[in-house]
Amino acid sequence: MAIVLEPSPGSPALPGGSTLPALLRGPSADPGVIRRPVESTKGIVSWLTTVDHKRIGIMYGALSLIWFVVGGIEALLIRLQLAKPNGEILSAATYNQMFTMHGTTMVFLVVMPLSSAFFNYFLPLQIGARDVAFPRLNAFSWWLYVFGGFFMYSSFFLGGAPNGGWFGYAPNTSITFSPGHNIDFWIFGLQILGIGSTVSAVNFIATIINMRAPGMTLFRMPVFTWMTFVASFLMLFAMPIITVALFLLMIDRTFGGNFFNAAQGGDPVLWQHLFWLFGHPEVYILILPAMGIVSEVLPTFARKPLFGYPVVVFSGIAIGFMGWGVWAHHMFAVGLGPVATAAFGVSTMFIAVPTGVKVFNWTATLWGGAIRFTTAMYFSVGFITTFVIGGLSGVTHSVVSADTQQTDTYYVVAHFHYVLFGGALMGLFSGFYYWWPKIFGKMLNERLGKVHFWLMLIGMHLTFGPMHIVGLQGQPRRIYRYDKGMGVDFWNLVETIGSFIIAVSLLVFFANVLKTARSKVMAPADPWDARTVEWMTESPPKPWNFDVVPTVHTVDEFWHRKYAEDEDGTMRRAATAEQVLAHDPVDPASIHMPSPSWWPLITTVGFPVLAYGMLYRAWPVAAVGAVWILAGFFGWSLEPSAAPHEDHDDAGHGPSGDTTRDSFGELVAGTSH
Amino acid sequence: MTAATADHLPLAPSHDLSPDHHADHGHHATATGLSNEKVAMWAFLGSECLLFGALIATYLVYKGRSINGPFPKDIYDIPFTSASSFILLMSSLTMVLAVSSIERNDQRRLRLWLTVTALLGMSFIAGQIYEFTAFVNEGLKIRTNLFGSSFYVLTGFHGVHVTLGILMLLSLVNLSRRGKITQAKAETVEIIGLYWHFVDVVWIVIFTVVYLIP
Amino acid sequence: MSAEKLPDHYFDAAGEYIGPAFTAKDKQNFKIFVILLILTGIEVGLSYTSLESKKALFALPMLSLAGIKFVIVAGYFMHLKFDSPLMRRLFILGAVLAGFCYSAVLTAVGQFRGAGHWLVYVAFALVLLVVWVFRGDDGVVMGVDKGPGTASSH
Repeated sequence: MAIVLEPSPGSPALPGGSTLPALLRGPSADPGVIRRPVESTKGIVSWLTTVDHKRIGIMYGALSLIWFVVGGIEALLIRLQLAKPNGEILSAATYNQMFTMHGTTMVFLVVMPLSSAFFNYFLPLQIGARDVAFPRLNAFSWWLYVFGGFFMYSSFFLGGAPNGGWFGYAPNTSITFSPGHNIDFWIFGLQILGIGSTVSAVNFIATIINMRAPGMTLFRMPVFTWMTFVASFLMLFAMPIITVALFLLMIDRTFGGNFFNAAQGGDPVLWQHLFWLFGHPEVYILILPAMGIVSEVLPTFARKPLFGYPVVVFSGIAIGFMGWGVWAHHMFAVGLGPVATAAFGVSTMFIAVPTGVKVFNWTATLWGGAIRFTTAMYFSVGFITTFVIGGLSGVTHSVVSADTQQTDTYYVVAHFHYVLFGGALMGLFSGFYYWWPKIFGKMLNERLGKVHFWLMLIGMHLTFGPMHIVGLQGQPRRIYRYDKGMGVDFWNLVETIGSFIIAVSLLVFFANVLKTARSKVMAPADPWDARTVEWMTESPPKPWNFDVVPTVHTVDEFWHRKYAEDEDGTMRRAATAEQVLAHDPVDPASIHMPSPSWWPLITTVGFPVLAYGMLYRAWPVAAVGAVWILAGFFGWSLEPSAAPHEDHDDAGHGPSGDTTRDSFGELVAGTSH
Repeated sequence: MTAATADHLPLAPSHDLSPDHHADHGHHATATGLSNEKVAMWAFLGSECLLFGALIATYLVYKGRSINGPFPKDIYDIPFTSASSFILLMSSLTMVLAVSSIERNDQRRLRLWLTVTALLGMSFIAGQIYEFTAFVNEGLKIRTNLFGSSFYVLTGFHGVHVTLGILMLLSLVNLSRRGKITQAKAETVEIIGLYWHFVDVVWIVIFTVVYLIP
Repeated sequence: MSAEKLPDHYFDAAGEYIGPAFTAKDKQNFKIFVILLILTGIEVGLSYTSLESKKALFALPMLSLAGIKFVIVAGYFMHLKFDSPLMRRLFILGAVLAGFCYSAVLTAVGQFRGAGHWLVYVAFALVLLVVWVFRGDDGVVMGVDKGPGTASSH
């Protein structure tokens, strides 16, 4: 709603606004209720109030890597516990918290926001925009992610973390079986994160529809942008379902509702339907961005256009649609009846078709290409191979009789780690190596990168490969111990060793980041001979992205400006990247960017207050939180998205005062110079 | 259609992101010529369909499955709820009149119709509070049975949406009084109107599915 | 949606509107409102007839009437009928997806059992038919994007 209350920029000044005390005014005494930071604001305040999609993207990336480490430590503890029969490291109760928080963290605090980091940073750049459609709502989503994550993790210090699995099956999560606050933290944390995701989805959809550069038709958009588009629609429509499911569970737990109370006729299977109706589109939300990244990396390093661009796009859209018709394959063991079971089995087999089409197109892109095996390319090829294995084991789940045998065994764990770790995360790491020079102006070390890749690939297969075997032998998931002599001892030890190899590979990655941060060597403008519009500006881009917004004529616009057909019909280099990027000087003062704002942060503070109030049944606290949020939106609506002209200062507004590089940026990214 | 529309729409925020916006005044700067806010509102309403759909589906799943009473037939007051529905439907009409007023820069009637819309919304909410109180007195609480849980959650969720809508309408009245809703910003009123009509549309479904079909 | 062209004498020298209280478009909306009232009246009336006890036979006209009201409000009051096809696409996508998914859930939990449950799908189809009837003035329900301004405009 705040969306629509935002006055457009350039609104007339509020008459008589100057009666407000100085702290409550914008510099020019205009409608802002709180003194608004200006472009020259530096240091921590500039990061707290930023609405720049690039800075928000960097913050998303940094925080989700921190959560990645946290979720990884939880995984290592699980593996240590299972390394030997009758492990002693974790108690059953702690083990439950570990696997719940590992799953929840990796899905909601790592892979989704890591994809979001790339959406934020590259979506506007790839469509030739200066920012997203709603920069302040973008900051709002980011702060919801921050507060949602820390809120959920505060449970560790307030009586114990969520322990009902990432799927939170009712009635196990009902007040009868989980009387503590553990599940409440999970419910309210996910609600906060869900609001953020919905707002992001609206924002990205509006951005892609409305902010494209001249000539950038839908079918000239880079594939990553397309996959962002599809994933945003999935988020838009899937998030409200989990919101309702969590709300019903909250009513049951807090107000004594009967939704999942079988004694009153409630149906626990309804929870499963609602959760998986959200949950299955969710797995495509996790994988589609990675597929988009791979579709950018492969053509660049094969030096060929993506094979069958429209087909890849349409298979992405097809996955987006079909993803809504397969959710019950998570529930075959429930006993849905023969018709529903058969229908969902068949639809699950069908959804492998568009996915297979994509794999075919990627392979055909490589065929006959002049391939350069950079680290980004390693990860992309690693993505394809592991994803194919995970995809095939996924198809085995669609065979209902086989699935009944596999349900709740390590076979399922193997499957989704092949697609989420070997798939989504490999794709995202490919994105890191490919786009690092774009974001920070420096290249990640290729040699260390390849060490990272091989360790990760080997560790991944050692960890999750044997899980197929022990799973089919019947080792159940979510059980904190197994007895000696069940025939799974050896493979469990191998899995634990593999998980530590993955941990080492991540240390190599972080060492690489540090090494790059210290390095003085700057990357060239076009280090990979890239193809798409995000490379048609300097690295890192200025706050306004493009001095001159490019006019787009084709897919792979940048490539076609560098290469032209000669008389024989072969593509030959016609211009260097520098020549393509050269343009007449532009007066930065002529470009008005949205101004920083305190409101997204201020408004978001109300959400954890409301959540803690609800959680501890402290109704006055909850009321304060709710009123705070409403007041925040109201103050927000009075502030124009761009400050009036006299509030802009020239200090930070040109190439001389480049605001993308300051203390926090140096800390995170090593852009010291 | 799109091209013809563009001239009547107010400027989108993206306008200022355009490099040559000084030369570009009076023209929509977005790629489709549609404003960001309106696209966002429609996307949001699409999302809301899934939200209310889930709540209505939950109500339907539990329809007739309550073990003990009171059951719907015991306590529904169809004439009363029909009157409530009439009031909400009426508020959609007054909302349309408010949008039409601002489109011809009729500030006085804009405030009139917005206020009437908000008052009708408040009457609806008052009716809902009365209805809930009456139901509780007849022994239906959220914890009583499946009907109680699913009924209160569905209609309560809708009531919260109406309440938020009333707050937005009153904000608009306030902004208009301060001269901040110019004709160029008719679209702000229109977009809040979209939200308001959507809440009405949801009630159309709830009224039929929850109250009228036993 | 575009504002209608109003004659100059509806405005005073300062540009303030001094014309009649209701325009032609308002009057059209009154008619729409009356239609909605009649449909609601039929619904309430039906619920007092003996049809009410015949489950599926009652559900069919009731769901159809609700669906038609839904489409009329969305089409006229929310002027989806006159707006860009893009708006229709966004909203219809959400509404149809919700209809599809939740019908499937209700079927899977067995809430559509018994003779004549298929009538619910008939109502669903009827609503889709109405969506088609009330498609935009440009005749497009789900059009294809022509893309932003062509390259030549800059």
